[in-house]
Amino acid sequence: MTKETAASTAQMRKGVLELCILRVLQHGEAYTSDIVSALQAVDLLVVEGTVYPLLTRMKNAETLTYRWAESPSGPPRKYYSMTPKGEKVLKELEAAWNQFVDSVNSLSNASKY
Amino acid sequence: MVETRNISLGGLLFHVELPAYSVLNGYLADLKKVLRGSEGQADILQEVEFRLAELFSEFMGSGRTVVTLEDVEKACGQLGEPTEFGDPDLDESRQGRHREDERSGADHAHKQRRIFRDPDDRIIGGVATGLAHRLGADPVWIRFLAVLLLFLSGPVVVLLYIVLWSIIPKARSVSDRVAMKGDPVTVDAIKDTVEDQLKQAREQFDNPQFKGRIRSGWNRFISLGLPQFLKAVLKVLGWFIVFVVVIILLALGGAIISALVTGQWNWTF
Repeated sequence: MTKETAASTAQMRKGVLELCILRVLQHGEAYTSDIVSALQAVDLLVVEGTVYPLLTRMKNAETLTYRWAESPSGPPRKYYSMTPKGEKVLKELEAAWNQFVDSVNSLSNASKY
Repeated sequence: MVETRNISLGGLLFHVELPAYSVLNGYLADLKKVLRGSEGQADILQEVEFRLAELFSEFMGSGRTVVTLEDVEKACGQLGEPTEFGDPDLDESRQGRHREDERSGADHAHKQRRIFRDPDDRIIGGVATGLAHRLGADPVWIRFLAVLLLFLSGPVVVLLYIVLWSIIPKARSVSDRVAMKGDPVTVDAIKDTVEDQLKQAREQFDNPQFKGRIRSGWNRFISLGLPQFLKAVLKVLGWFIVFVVVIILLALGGAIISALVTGQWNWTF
């Protein structure tokens, strides 16, 4: 991958990160490391650093909420879950994403303008 | 044998080897700098500290009790460079500002440098090295000039040194060091500096000669005792001067106030 496309890809990843976090959480609560590894498993996240500011912002926007839980080993864990407002945001972002994909694909499929 | 330091991270106690500690400390300081002014800074830092604590416990398992440099490097690598934490919106405005800085300073490379005292290359307070970085000269010349002036003008240079020592901030974080040396603060420059520091720390701690050198009597005094002693003397002198200045200012203030009061009193009657 050239330097230019790498930068654009990173921007795209950043753009859909909020949607992806909400999708990870739609099946139930998860703690920070779960969210990080779920995103890394599907190559949507390169370094963890980008997630933490976003989680904080989503928490402040009340799309997410969290509770503390003890951990058998290591420090206490922060379990995040979606709020009703988060579910609404997820629906909106999914609609936007689908429309986005359709729009981009329609350009490559178009035979004439 | 390596010295360790105890830290509390995410509510857990960790013993961290000294070189690892200084890298970790620099990393968190840089992170704080990147996050300054952004929304939820405290929450993000807390999240990072808990994550670091978790990673360290994971790396160490049940066998080890001390956090090493490798652990810190691995954990920080996994979290990413401090610049990755920036808010994208905030990032853009910052980059814009940075570009402007570069444009206006393009002709004068020195102007981009910020002045810091260099703790890595110091004899007393790192003032000479700091000035040298700023001016793009070799610190040896600044020191030579300072010693020469010491013989010519005596206490004036000492006073000047103390003033500069207290005014010029010490380069504490990695980005301070990068700015001090005049490179624009980018991820690569920060990475280079961190790698340099890691190498230095490793060499210092692994090299038995280094340990031998500071252990032997007279050399130990020259390399550790003398700078410490000078530092202490200068600090005391510095506080004494501050004290005298404060007394003079207070006396002056008192004189002015009493002059005003008596002036008013004279005028009224």
